[in-house]
This record gives sequence, C-alpha cells and structure tokens, in this order.
Amino acid sequence: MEKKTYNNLELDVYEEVLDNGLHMFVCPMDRNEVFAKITTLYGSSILEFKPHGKDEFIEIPKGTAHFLEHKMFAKKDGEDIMNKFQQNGASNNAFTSSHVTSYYFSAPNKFFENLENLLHLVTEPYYTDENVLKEQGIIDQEIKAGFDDPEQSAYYTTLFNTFSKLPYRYPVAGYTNSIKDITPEILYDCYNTFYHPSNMVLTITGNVDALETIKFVKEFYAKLDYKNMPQIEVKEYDEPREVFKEEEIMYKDISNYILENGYKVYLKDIDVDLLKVLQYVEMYLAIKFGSISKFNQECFEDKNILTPIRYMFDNKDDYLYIDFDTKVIEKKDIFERIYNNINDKEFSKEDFDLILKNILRATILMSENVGRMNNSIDYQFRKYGRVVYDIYDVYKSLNYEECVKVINALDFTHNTRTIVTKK
Amino acid sequence: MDYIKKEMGNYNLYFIKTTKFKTINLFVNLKRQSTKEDEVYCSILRRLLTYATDDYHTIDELSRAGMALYGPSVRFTVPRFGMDRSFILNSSFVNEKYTEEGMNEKSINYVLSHLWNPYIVDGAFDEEIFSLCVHEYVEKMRNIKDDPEGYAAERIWEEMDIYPIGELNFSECADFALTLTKEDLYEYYLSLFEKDCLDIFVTGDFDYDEMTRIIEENVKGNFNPSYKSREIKQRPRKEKKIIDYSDTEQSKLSIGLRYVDLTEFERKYVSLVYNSVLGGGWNSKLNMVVREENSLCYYIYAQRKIPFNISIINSGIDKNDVDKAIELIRQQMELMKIDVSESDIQRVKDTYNNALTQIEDNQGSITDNVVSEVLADTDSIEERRINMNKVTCEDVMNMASKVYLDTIYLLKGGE
Repeated sequence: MEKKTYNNLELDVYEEVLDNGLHMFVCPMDRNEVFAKITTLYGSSILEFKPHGKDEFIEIPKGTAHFLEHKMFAKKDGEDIMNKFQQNGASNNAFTSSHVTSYYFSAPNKFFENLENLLHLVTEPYYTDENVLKEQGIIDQEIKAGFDDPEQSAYYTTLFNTFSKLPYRYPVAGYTNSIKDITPEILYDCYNTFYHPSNMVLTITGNVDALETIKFVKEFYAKLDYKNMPQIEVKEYDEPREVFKEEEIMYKDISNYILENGYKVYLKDIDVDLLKVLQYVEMYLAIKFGSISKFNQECFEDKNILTPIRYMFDNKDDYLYIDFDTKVIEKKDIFERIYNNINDKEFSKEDFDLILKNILRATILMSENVGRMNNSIDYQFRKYGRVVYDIYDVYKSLNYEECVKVINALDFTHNTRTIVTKK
Repeated sequence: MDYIKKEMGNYNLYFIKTTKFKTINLFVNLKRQSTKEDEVYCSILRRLLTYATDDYHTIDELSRAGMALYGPSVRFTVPRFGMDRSFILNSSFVNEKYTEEGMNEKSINYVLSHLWNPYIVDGAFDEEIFSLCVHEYVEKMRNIKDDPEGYAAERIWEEMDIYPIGELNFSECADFALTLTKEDLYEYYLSLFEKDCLDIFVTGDFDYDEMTRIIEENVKGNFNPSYKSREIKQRPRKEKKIIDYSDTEQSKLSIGLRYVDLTEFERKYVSLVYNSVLGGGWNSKLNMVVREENSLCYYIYAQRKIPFNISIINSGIDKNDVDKAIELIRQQMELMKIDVSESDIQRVKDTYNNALTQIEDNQGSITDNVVSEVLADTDSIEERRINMNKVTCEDVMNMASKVYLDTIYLLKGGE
C-alpha cells in the first residue's frame, strides 16, 4: 500500500494493487457519506476480442456490455442485490459507457455490508436463457425511449457517421435487433474475459478507514480463485482520419430543426502530454464557444437559434470527438458558422488566463464532493494510467504559448452534420 | 440544523454556519400567491435577468465579469409550491479564504446585481433582450411536443386541473407572452419588491456582521413579510382518461393520483412512505411487477408532489402493453390498501434516515433543508427522524384508501 497526497487539495489517497491485479484507491474525506465504485475497463466499444481461454476472436452483438451490466444483478439463488442495498438505505446503480462499465453505491453507514454487496455483485455471474430473454424486453423499451428522443437520435447518428470502423459509432445499448442475438454463452465469454479483477478498479471516497478497507477487500478476494489472469486481446481498427459520412437528414415528429455537428480530430500528431492536450482543447472551446465568446453572444442575438449551441468533447482512442448541437427555426448557415469559428484559431491571452483561473477554482472545489472526487480518481487512472496527484500544479503550468501551439497543430476540418427535421 | 434568523425590517435573513466547505451558498427566495399568468412572466423574467445587468449589457461581458471573480454561479428558478409562486435566485461562490480578500463582497454584489440592478432603458427592460426572451419562450411553448417524455409529464398536470385558479395551457402561455410589452414585464419585475415576501439564506464560513452589511447594501424593496403559504387541497372526482398521439416508438404513460383529506402526519410522513413503497426505487411494487415480473418497461416511478397533495406515475410502455400496464398499476394501488410489509416500510425509513444524514455533506442540501424548515413548515431533522420511525404499515394501508386515481394520460406512440 502506498499513501499519496493531492497537492493543494488537502487529500490523501491510499493505493493498493491486490495479488489478483485489482487496483484500489481509497481517499478518506471529512464527510458522512461513502461513495464506492468498481469499474471494469470494458464498455460498449469492445465488440471483437479473444475470450479468456479461447484462441479465436469472436464478434459479439452491439449492446452486449450494457446488457451484461443489467444481468450482473441476477444471482443464482434468486438473491436480489439491489434489494440488499436498498434494505441498507444505500443508493446504488450502474452504468455503461463506450469505455467502461461501473457499479457503485453511496451511503453514510453499513459500509462494509454495502462494500461486500458491491464486490459480490461483480464476482458472481448467473446467466440463463430465461433471465436473458426477460431482460431483452426491458432493454428493448430502454432503446426505444432513446430513439424517441430526437436529440439523442441525432447524437447517435452523428457518432455513427463520424467513425468508420471504431465501434464508438454504435449506441451503448445497441439496437433492438442486435440485443436479440445475445445469449448466456456470449455473456459468460465477456464476463470471464473482462470482469477479472486485473481489469478492474475499485475507488472509494468519503468516510472510510483506508487500512481497514484494504484489508477487507483483500480478505474478500482471498476466498475466490483469481490466479489465472486473462491476456486481453481486443481487435484494433485502422480508422481513417476522414468522417464516414458528411451529412445525414433524419425525419422526426418535431416542429423545428435539430442540428448536430460532430468533429473528428486526430491527436497523435501532437508531441504534448495527452492530459495537457485535452485541457487545452477544453479551454479553447470555452474561449471560442463558451459564455465569454462573441460567438455565443451572436447566437443569443439570432432569433433563428432557439437553444444555445452546446458543445461537448471526448477522447476516443487516437481521436478527439467534438459534438455541437442546437435547435433552430431554419438550418441556414449554422454549420458554416461553427466551422469558421472553430477554425479561426485566434484567441487572446486575456481570455486564456480568465478560463485558466476558473479551471483552477474548479480543481480546488473538486475535493468538496465525494462523488466528484471518486469520479476524478477513477477517470484519471483509466485515462492516464495514474492518478494525477499534481493535477493542480499541472493546470497551473498550462500556458498560452503552448495552447496556441497545440490548437494550431490540430485539424478541425473533418466533420459530419446531422439535420433532424419534421416529416 | 442550527441557523440564526435576523429580522431586517420587511424581510428575513438566515445565516447557517458551516466550516466544511470552501464555498458560500446564497439563496434568495421571493414568494407570493400565484396567478394564472405568473408562469409566463416569471419564465421570461428569469431568462432576461441572467443576460445583462446595468453594469454589463451583454452575456459575454457579464460572463467575463463573473469569471474574474472565480465564477460565482447565478441561477434563477420559478417553482410553484401549492398556492405559492416562488422566484428564486441561487448562487454558490468560492469563499475568499481560498481566493483573494474582498472576493466575498464582490461576488455577492455581482450575484445580487442580477436581481436588483438589471439593465433598464427608459423605464423598461432593453427592447432587444426583452424581445429575444419572449421569442425564446414562445418557441419553447409551441414546440414542447418535440420532447415526448417531457410533454407527457407536463400534460398530466394540465389535465389534472391542479390549481384552483386554473392555469394557461402551452398555447395560451405563448399567446399571452406575445401580448406582453417590455414595460409590462418591468412592472411585474418591480412588483416582486412590493408584493412578495423575501427571505435570504447564506450558508458557509463568514463573518455575520460583515455579511449583514453586504446584504443590506444590496437589498432594496418594500416586501410583504406577513405572507402565509397555503397548500392545495384535493377532492376526488370522476376518473379521466386522455389519449394524444405521437410519432414515437414508445407510448408515454402518466397517471395522476390525488391525496384527499390527509392528516398533517400523513401528509408529511405517511405519504412519503406510501409513494416510495408504491413507486420509489428498485424494489417498489410498480417496478417489481411492471418491469421485473412482466418486462413491460425500462422505467416506472411515482413522484410525490406534497404541496399539491398529488403523486404522478410515469412510464414508457409499448403501445400494445398499455392496458396491461394500467391494470397492473391499479392492482398494485389496491394492494397498497391491504399488503404493505414491515420490510417495505423499513427500507423507506432507512433510505430516508440516510438522506437526512447526508444533508450535512452538501452545502446546497444544508441550505435547502433550512429553507424547507423555514418556508415549508418542514420539521427539524431530528423531529423528522423520530416521526418517520413512527409510521406503521397500518398507517400506510389506511392512507392508501385516501389516494384516488384521477387521470390517465397516454401519449400513444407506434401508430
């Protein structure tokens, strides 16, 4: 076990790697609540891999990781884990993203009981034809609800048209047709390969004793046989830098236009630490499209634009995916305006400093909340292979000149446009 | 939760001391009895006030000024609680102990200037900003069906006729907004400081005298401190079923329930247990039967709206399964009269007690809790623990006979 300290945040983190490979991070905080989360590095974007103990690659139906998340709550003796959490008065849930599947709880008491439930949840799979069939009906409704949401449909269509090969293009929950092909055998192949502790991270923040917690987790896993670590082999794809399709029109029962614009930006040409690159891009987008930007002011004054042009971004393998969306009366030149603005790479040091000041503020406040702190530790470890204990200093070292260099090196030309309009 | 109340003449100031956080939370609540048109006035006004102040006439200028102060948040909400309409300004900013001396005062001045120092031109709001806000609101009302789930959730309120004074439907809201002038809205704005009851809550680690001075220097108005809130009582009526159609894959089902003649104890505690056992959380009766046993939906839940004495059940169902789902919901409501177990209610009590414990972990929750105690007559945390533990299965089953299925609203998809 190693004790680390977050600079400027007055927080310690205890790191441990168990014999079975599980990475553990425990961060005691002065709160009543404990937030515990176990994450497997397996999300919806893994669709082709060599199952543990087998020699051949298999291709699994889209939406399998999410389906597996649902089915982890089924247990052989009919035991209802959700119920156990709720009987303890704990809040618990799970989610699947393109990169990971996480299970978590938060509660101010009965910590070890809840932690045992959490570990039990991810260590005892039970899949049958019957319980798989039952879940298909539920997930079918979840997928349909997403499809009914025009904004969500536009988002997934844009993602689909951005990537040609990488499975990020598919919805996390899959499709109503694809989930019908999921079988207990497929779920076991996925479970046995990706739910081994060596592919998982346990992060606990809040009112905990780190030493006791680590001891408890070690004892829990000592009862289980996890010696045989799988060598995970996932198919790699040769993704082109161009988008798959430049424009798509969708028809929905809506009154105006929904516009979604996805940018695909190749990152590997840049010789700067990824953490800094992502932060510079975030700052650049805030400067060019955020509340201090002229662009935002002009959009506000434009009566054709009904909702502010929002943006978000995500790092997907070697690429950055930037997504813009808005609702407008007429589609006019919105896409062109976004294109021109993102490619006009002029920005002032004054704006850079203003945004940086607020990033430092947000970093200090990160330690206020056990959930946010937990997510931050878990994310940093997955993203950068380490928890960035000097994150405050790293951010403080960000500088205008390097930001200009990074932004100038990025190519913001490859983009796809989705137009949702009435039938 | 301990707090200090300061009577400031025609309004009240509440200080809640905590050293656990690096931020200060400021909560300003204006309230008075609601009228039909309040929704329109307040929705437009709350947008307008965040777009400019007298010192900063554009969003980018205003935003820059905020960021220079380490980004205090400024959020207006305009909820209705029973017969009341509230106009709320909520903000959180970094305590100057973690930034620079003098930042607390500058941050509060900045935040409160949104409410007390708006951008005025010739005795009214700026024409351009006003017309943009009206346009934004009108388009939102006209296009509300673009979000089928949100639309169904709003339509059930409309069909249940909750407000004794009535309310404008989406189209009437849009039409009324188009009749407004910038002078009308400014007049309404000024009335906030003449007719409303004002309460201000500040939570964090700060000097009381200094904070009192800063607030006093910002707050102007002749408020109505004697205003008393009223809940909305319900009466049973003939069940109503409304079907609208939508080009969606899934049907959106909303069911409105009325609570009639509840005692104070039932209203505050038993109804919470009733709602949770019926439709709150994973092992609620509705989730277990409609989702888990019959695989009819991905989500089904009941939301209790106690100032209105109602609950609303929401779900997304395949059009072919709607009748079956409604039948199952009816069955579970009937079962609530005869079959509520000790473990059912213990789960709710444990979750409730944990939620009370976790209030201290979040500065916003600490403020909300005191706001609720002061403005909504909620009991103290300790009283709540004690009273919740008194709720019995019999209490819940007895209350179930005071719950009436009022309206079934279906936004039918897949047609």
